[in-house]
Amino acid sequence: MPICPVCKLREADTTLVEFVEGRIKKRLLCSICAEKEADGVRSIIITSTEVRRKGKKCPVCGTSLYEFRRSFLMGCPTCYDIFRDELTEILKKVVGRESFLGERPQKDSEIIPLLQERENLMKRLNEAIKKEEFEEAAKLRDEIKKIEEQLQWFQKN
Amino acid sequence: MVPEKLINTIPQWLKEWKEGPVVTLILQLSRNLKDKKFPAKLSIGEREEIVTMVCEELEKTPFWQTPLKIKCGELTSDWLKILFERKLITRYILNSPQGVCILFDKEEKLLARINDRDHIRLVIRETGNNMEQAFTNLTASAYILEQIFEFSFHEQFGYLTSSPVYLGEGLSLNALLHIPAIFFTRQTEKLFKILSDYNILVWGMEGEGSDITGSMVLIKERDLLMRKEDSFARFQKALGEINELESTSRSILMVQHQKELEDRVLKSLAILKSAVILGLKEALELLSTVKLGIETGIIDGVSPNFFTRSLIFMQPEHLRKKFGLPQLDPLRESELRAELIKEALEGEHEG
Ligand SMILES: [Zn+2]
Ligand SMILES: [Zn+2]
Repeated sequence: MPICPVCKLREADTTLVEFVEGRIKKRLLCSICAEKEADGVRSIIITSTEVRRKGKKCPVCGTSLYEFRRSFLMGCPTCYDIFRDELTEILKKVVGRESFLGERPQKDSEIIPLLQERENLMKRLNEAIKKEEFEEAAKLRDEIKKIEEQLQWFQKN
Repeated sequence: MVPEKLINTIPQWLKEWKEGPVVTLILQLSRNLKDKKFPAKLSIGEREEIVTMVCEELEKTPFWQTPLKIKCGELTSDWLKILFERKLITRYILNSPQGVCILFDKEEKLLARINDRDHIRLVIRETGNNMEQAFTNLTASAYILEQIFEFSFHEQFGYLTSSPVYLGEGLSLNALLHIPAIFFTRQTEKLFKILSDYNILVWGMEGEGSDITGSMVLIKERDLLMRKEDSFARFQKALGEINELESTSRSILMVQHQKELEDRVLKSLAILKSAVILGLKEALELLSTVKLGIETGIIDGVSPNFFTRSLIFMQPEHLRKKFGLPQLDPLRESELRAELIKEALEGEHEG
């Protein structure tokens, strides 16, 4: 399928028929540009038979509803907005939930040094075990445990 | 390039497993970069740009000091098969490796697949007795990723993944189980009941669509849109119930069918010790029975690593590489498999 000459981004799957100075002018555009360019009474938007047959289509990656239903794969983040209603229906039926129960983890810098520290201690612990320094190993284990408790605290908060 | 020594090492996530039904936990976190099409819709050039950017950032984090890095598109199909047999790549990547890169540590416990079905898939593997640690690592990794990248996140669906089955946390919880007593005592219906109660899918050890052989199964929790803490707690509970079922089944075997069990175990051991030709499935069934014999104390004196050694090295591509076979020759392959298992039983080339 050709690319839309206006946005040069999406597939041109829609014909825009315009009446300019008594003459008919046809242009092949993507559905979004066709909507934008259409001028009320003087133009008609004709959706191609392929689009009608395969259902609506994601304007960014070209995935059609038909393809989504067949593969259960989305092509890009925008697909999730285009097929939101259909997906919500499926989710309700299959898992009895329609939205995420968790939250987005916060960006915070406090946790990074903790993780680095834990990595260091783990390395030292492995060394100690290799050299059979068990007293040292026990100490290191305690320290790692403390850090893991802190990490768990972050997890919960 | 794949380091040559890879074909002679047992991945740590398998080697550390000594006994019990949970061989390995496999936790996977999927993430996609903000405002970018998912890998399947990208050109190879666009995928390679993502690989460069993501590798550069990942290599700065505390987890990835000196990772092994392999660009799958540059490999010949035999090496891709080696990676596949070691579970470093999926069947999907095996068939379309262009623009895919993997990073992993030398223990093969931590793995990042770039441009699998999602831009980043982080896989953490731990033996069954390290469950808590696996989850702490996962949480820590999720935090780290969040600090360094901007991801696609949807107000309704959470993290966006190319397949909606991971929506929410972008999380997939899996485990590789070895549950011979459940199969011997025909308790499989009870097993399937537990699995369906917890919304868990089950396959053979090769994953989706594979047959169950050697009492080994791969299970996958399918509880999308939940908080990861809740999913994990549920999964742990399910594993606890399966553990329970396997140990009850073992008691039944030991008390009510002791002679039959002994017979099966010792016959299996005798076959492994004297077989000249062994197919993959046949070998797996026999190995599993012998392993049960060791865990129940019927036999001793067998090298403790023999099961995991055989499991990894008896696979077709590993055999071919190890013995330098030029073309796949099923008969020769089966001969070499029988030889290799004999060696593993005697504990030769231990290390
Ligand atoms: Zn357009
Ligand atoms: Zn799309």
